[in-house]
Amino acid sequence: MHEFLLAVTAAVYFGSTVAYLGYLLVGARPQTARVARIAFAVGLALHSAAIAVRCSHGLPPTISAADTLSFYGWALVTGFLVVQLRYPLPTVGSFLSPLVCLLVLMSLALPKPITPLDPKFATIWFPVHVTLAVAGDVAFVLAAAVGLMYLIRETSLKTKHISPVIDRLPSLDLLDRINYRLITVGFSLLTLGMLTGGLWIFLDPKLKAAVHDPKILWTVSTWVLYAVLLNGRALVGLRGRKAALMSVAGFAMVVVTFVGVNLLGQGFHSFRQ
Amino acid sequence: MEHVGLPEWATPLVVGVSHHTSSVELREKLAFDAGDLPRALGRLTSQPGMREAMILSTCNRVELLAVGETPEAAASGLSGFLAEERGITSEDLVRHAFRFAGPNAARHVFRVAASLDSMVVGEPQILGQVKSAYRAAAESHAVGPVLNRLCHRAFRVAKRVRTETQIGDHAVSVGFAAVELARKIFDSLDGKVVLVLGAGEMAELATRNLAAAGASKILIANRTHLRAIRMAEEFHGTAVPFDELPTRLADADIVVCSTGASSYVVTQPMVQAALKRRKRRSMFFIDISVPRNVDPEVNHLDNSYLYDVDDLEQVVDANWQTRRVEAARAEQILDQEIERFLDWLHELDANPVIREIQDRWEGIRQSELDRHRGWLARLSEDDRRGVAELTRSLMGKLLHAPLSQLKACRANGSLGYVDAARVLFDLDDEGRSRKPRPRPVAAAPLEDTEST
Repeated sequence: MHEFLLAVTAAVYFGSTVAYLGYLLVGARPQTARVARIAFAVGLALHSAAIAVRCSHGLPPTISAADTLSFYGWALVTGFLVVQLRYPLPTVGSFLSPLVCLLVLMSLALPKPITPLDPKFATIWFPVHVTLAVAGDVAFVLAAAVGLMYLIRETSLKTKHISPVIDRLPSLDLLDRINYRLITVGFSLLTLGMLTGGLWIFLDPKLKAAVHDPKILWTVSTWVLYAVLLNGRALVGLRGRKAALMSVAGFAMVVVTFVGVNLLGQGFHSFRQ
Repeated sequence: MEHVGLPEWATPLVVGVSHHTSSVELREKLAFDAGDLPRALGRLTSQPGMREAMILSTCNRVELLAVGETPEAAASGLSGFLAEERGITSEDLVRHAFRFAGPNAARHVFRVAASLDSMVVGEPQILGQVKSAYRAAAESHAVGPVLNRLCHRAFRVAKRVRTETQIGDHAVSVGFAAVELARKIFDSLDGKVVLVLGAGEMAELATRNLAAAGASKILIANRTHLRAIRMAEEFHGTAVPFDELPTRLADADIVVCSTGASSYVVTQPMVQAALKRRKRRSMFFIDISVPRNVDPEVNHLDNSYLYDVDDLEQVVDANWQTRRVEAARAEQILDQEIERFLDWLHELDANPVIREIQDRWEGIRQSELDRHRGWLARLSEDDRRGVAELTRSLMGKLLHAPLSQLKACRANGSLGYVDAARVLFDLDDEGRSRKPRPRPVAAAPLEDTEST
């Protein structure tokens, strides 16, 4: 049932991706954006059902690699639709939807073992810590998408290269503003995620060894990068192109941390246990 | 003629001159003053054989639209009118004027209203001018069903073209290109500060456009401070001493530069300092001066964008390209709408046939009732009414199928069925002419002119 629902979800997301790309590349028709948004919302409902089925086996959606990829996809769509309420910009969807499709397809391709839940996860700290961390990552991914859009638009304006496709992107100021807000939100969530993780280790004596987990080092580096970016903006006006570049770099670090530590690495955060 | 198949009495005709066909001298000679229109329209419609007329007179075109008893009558009425009114001979007309009839006339009117025939393709003013020409004609009772419908269709076409294509979306003048670029950087120009250096005509134009787009604060600096003050008054701005340029630069989001200086007035270090002071919020430099007044290196600074005259021209050229592509798309919309309009014209012609059939059958019914009045008189009042009702409903049922077929066929434009109905229902007693007779306008349905 889960596999079937997830496959249907992937198909619906794919339809949405086609519409979002059509909006950007072919013609910015409001109807196309509406179709894409509705498809995304329908996909999200199906995706939620798929995840709920999986959870009914007693497995939180962030234990195995396959489930986590799917959960990230779900969280990205949710985050995107929330941002759309404030900033209705379909072109952000054009950049995000292919990534969502990729995540769900990867999840479909990977095995999904049903293993008994490790007792160390049977605590309230686990869902709180993971939710905050994933939500933070979602904000950073969205910020990176907006940052990438900024870089494309900025390059086109600097080089005076005129293209109807690039002209469909929002203005530089708006992209910069959204990028900043997303990073502020992401940074707060990441900070809370790190604090809850730290408290969890502090309160559970069995987890002393987790302090040396590579994920913690990587995450602290990511946190520093975003801290520099936010402070730089407030103090010396680190904005525009450099901020966009840093938000894309931050995304790269998030991906490296996730792939390198969770998927391929060893340790407390690894899926390979 | 090209309007084969159209009812002759409903064939629109356009005769006129435009910037494409004639010199401004001839257009001036032909032009009609708005105040003079009621009189001119009255005169035009009183030409022999003229049913409907309308006059569109703008600085780029003078066009007369007419519908006559026949297209020939309309044409001779128009040339007679122009000869009387403006002393234009028919040779002059042949040489300088265009003339469209039937579907081509409809296409021309649609193209004009949709701004596809304009000097600046896609400019929006022409639609308003067509609308007021129509209003003037309607107020003078010069338009009838055909021009009514033609104009309302034209307004609809113009709206479709505007919303379904991007024909008017991009700036095709340097002044508007500056606004368009500023919007790509700043999103909205509301509350943005514009600093104007120098007082060239182009700079003034660009500033006017930026202010109209929402830029609220205008700072003006000129080497001759008095000129700055004068210009500041005009734009409700503030005059700034030219020497203060390096310090005031940081206040400006947009800098319009058009001085006569032979070297760079705005240098890279100056902009660098300004950006630092304004915490690297974006700056947009529009350099309309030749030789250039803003160091091209300014464009290489982060969050600073510089466009010179050539860059702006390039933007305008690209936008022209877009307009041309969009104009081709608009022609497709026109094709659809012309089909619809022609369908309607055919419909106009079939309606009298239907009415004639109904009249004829009603006549037969009445005469039959009359023939049987002897025994009918013996029935009670109620029964007599029942019999009358029976014959009426019988007639309605029998006619229902052929009449609805006729209505459906004319929607496809197959006038042949209308013709066949005339023969089958024996409508043309005299000589069985297969040619549809012209019907008086009063017999034509005065349909709702609102676009459907």
